Amino acid sequence: MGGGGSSIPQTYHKSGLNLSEDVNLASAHSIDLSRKYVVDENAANKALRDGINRSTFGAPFTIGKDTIPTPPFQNNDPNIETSISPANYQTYSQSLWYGPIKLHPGGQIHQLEDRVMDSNGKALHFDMLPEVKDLQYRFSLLPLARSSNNDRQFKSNKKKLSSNTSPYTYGSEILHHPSSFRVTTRSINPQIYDRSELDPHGHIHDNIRSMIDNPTHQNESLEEHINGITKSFHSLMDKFESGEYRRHPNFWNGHLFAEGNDRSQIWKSIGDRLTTQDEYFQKVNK
Amino acid sequence: MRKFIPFNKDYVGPDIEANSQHPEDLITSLAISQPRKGIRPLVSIKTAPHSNGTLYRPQINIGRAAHGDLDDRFEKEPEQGTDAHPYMNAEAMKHWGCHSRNWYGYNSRLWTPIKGDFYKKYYPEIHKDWQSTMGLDGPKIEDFVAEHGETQKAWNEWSKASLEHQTNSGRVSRNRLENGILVDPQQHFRNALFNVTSLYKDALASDGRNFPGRDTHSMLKKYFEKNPHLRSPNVEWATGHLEHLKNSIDEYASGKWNESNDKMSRYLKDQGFRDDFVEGSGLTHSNHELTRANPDIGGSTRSHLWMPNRQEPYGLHVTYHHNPLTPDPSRRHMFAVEKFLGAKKTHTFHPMEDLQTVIPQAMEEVNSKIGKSQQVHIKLLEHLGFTQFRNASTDWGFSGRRAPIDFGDNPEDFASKFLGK
Repeated sequence: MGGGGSSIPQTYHKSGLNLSEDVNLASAHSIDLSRKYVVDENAANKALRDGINRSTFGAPFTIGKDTIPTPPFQNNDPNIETSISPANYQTYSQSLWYGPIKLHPGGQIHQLEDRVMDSNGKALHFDMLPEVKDLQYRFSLLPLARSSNNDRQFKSNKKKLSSNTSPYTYGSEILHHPSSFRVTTRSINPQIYDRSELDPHGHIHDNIRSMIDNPTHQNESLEEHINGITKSFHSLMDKFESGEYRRHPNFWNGHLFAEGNDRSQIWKSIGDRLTTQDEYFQKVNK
Repeated sequence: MRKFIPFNKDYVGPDIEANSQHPEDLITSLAISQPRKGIRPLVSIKTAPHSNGTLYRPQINIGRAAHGDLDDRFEKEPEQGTDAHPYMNAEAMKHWGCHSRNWYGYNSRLWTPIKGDFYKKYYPEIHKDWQSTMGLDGPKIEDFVAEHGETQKAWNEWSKASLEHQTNSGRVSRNRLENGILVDPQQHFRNALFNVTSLYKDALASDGRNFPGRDTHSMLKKYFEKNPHLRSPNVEWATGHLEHLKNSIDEYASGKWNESNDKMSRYLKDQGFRDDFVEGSGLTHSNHELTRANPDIGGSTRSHLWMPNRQEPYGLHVTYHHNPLTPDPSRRHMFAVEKFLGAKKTHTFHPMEDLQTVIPQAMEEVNSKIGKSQQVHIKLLEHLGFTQFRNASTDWGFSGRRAPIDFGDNPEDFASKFLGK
């Protein structure tokens, strides 16, 4: 290799990915560790509905009955235009989303009910529970764990990942679930510059990022990382079973962790979804 | 219609216009900005003098030193000859201070050689004077002539002394000497070249034939006449070399090397090597680097690849090498083996006579490593025609992490499978 120095690595992972892609942000979405948004027919065209509603994996829902009372996104101001675009535009724009799509005036994006009350009586969305946050991090790093041949390599890869300053949100090379999206609003009046961008799943990415940056996590061995999954998973299920965590009465029953799903069933669904639904393991056709 | 280009390639919002810059706007803002005096602007807009200031199209200066060329080591432009240059401007020198920095922020360590280059180029006599003051100019030939008279001995002694001086004055050559490496391999090469070309001329062109390489020869001759210190006679070596050269020319003309290559190809094909590496695409691989050294003779390939399993990053890549100039006849026909072991690659050269021992051993070794590495060497990808290997979503067809993880029946099952227990 000529010229500018020896920074060009001589080897690549067999799968064709490099270190910056060893974080799989799609996994949290694939196994319902993230909040779910849905839109109805009046809110948007079919492409947008398909894009967002994909996160339900086809399970039925009823807006009103299965959703939280106040839609997180709604636009009743005729001077504000709301558009939705995929979090990883480069990967999904052509195949799944067909570019940024405008929400119909007055259109609403609903959130499926996923609130859980903890022992202190505090209600949290499912993806904010400490066990779930731990699982978000651990599942997203499975590719890295898999590509690291030993503990030393795993630790140093995590440190490398931490020193990588590129944002782990949209636009990076890191894999996102196709149904993760951004909401952009802007003023239609050209005289007024009013524009905002919301990333409804940004908190998950921030959580994963901050856990990657945490030295305690960086020093975990492969075994500790994998056993962490077991520990958090069982702790979560134990708390549901003991009543320490109580699901909202309207908790969407299409959710992987809904009432009535036992832990071995849930685990099998996790394995099934991560190996068949997760984009990471599938070839993305651009 | 103006086409706007977003500042950020990932920007996909609906108001590209408000978050973008049109190239025309960039040019305009550059053009109306005033660069400092003495600096040639990157973009300027000329006006027609007699038509009320009508604008001509913008003038883009893409030459060296436009807007100040940071790579111009000698800082020839644009400050050369103006008092913007600290070495032309006493006030500036005082201000910047000796060995502090220049405008571009070079620190003193980089600044010293720049200063040296500056003097060497623009004030050679000052540079020479400085060198002799510092004792850096090496032994003087006059001293040796004074001691030995105008004899071969004077020449030899001076030559020896100046090589020694060269050796001792540089860190690199000192290191080479300490490690038993030729201090100046170029000098040895040049000596040989000179001698060979002389003898070549004597041997082949003494009867006035217009021999090939005549121009090179006269160029070299002129070069060595100008730089006598760069040569020393080694007639013996050169004579032997010439002999080889002559024999090799004969061999080359008779096509013998090609025969040897064909023999290698036949053997490798029997072992399962192939010379079309890109499966299914109908493309035939050609190894461009190697076709440069020796002209290819129709239909014969020099590059062979064997992979025990196309889904694993292991393989052997064998190429043929012809060394017509080597004095060792056993090394005239050689083959190179690139052994790909996942992340690792080794590269070895062997005489052709070892082909049937080296290849089976290497195949065995490669076979034994299968499934042990998660990595693939970049060079193997190149052989396989994956020139776009940096593209993130390229699937090279190697098995590995894209294969589903086995999540088992429960978390414990998964953990033990994942950790290989």
